[in-house]
Amino acid sequence: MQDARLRIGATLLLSCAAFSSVFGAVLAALWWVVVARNERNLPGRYAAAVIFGAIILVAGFTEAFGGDGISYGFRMTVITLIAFWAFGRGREGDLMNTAVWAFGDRIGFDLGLTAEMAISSLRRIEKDIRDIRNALKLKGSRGPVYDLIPLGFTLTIMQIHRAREQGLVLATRGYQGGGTFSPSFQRSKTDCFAFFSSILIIAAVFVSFVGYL
Amino acid sequence: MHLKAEQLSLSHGEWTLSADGVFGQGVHLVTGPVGSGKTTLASALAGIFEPASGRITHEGISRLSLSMQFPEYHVTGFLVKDEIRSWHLPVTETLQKTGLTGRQDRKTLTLSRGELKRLHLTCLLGSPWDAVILDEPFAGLDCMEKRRVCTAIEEKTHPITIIFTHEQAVLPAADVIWEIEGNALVCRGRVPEAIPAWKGAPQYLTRALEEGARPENIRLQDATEALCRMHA
Repeated sequence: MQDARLRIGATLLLSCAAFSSVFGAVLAALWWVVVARNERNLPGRYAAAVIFGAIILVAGFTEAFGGDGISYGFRMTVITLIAFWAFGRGREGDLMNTAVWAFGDRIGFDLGLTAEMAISSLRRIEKDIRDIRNALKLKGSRGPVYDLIPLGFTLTIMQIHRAREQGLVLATRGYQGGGTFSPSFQRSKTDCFAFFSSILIIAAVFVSFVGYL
Repeated sequence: MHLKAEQLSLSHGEWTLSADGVFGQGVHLVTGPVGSGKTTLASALAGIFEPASGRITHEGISRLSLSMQFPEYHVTGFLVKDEIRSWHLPVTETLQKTGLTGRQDRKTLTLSRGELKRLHLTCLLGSPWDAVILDEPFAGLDCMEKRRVCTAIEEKTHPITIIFTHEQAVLPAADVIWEIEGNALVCRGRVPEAIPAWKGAPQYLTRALEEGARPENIRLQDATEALCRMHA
């Protein structure tokens, strides 16, 4: 999906559908299989083990203590898969374009700028983690558990430094709030189909709820 | 003892860099413009970047290290003294060398970028490696510190030192010059024969060559001495 508005919209709708019921999660998973087949952007083995391991752990505890852990685990897995797709498919400027299109030059610009800065930080963190792990390996890593402390600490401090520098740059350039920005979007042939199918999914979930009530 | 790149091809999307050569004992200087692939090649030689094709062999090298551009990545000690200990070095002596005497209880990551780089390079160059790869070691340092790093490199405590830099003012004496040109690593040869062929040479060297001087190495003092010899 090239159109950021439709992609963000579809992500929100599918996440709501997947979170609300197992039926919604199954439909969202089918959507993910069909629409995101060439751009799933799954994480590496290590990151996948940590993320899905955490979901399985919480699901296991919930199930063990009388909750519906399996349902939770399945729904969260689908939401996570859709999040990977949405994050990987995103391009620089998507959130700025969408926020300004939706909320205008004042609030939209501020929201878009904040979101873009957050996303660019996330992308930099990916590289930082890779580089820090390599540096620790070269220095003589004591294992992934020991490495977590310096890794987490270094990442946090680096992010604080960068946030301060970005703040200073914005202040130096006279930023006080809002700005001028002309949003632009590109759309592929399949974008509308993918978005409207996500509307159908949330509608089906809503109908199934009404039927249940 | 050597580090060999055999028909190496490195790629990032559509960008590629090819390298073929042997880094034997001595100081190797690899230069190239910003974005030419110096960091990628340094990472590949250190074994942390997977080449698209070809291979890298480490003959007789059991301990190799890479100094990354950002010294923060290497930090494992919360306090400066912990960081120095993590390199198995004496705290007081290292602090003296770094010019950070009395700051052993300071939080490592609250040092300025320049101070952290000094601390990192002092620790790395003070450790017994068979080969060290330095990626932009002069970035973030003032002239005095650059000279101090050059002196440490020239002591040749490590059999193989490979320096990746685009520094044009303060350089250490080198044995071999390499350049990244047109997406390929090119060996200009041994110093001093390689100096006239070095396209990215600092201005003081090219000026000395234009004047007809023949510097024995690549430092500013070598160019000055060559000019003095000529006019003597």
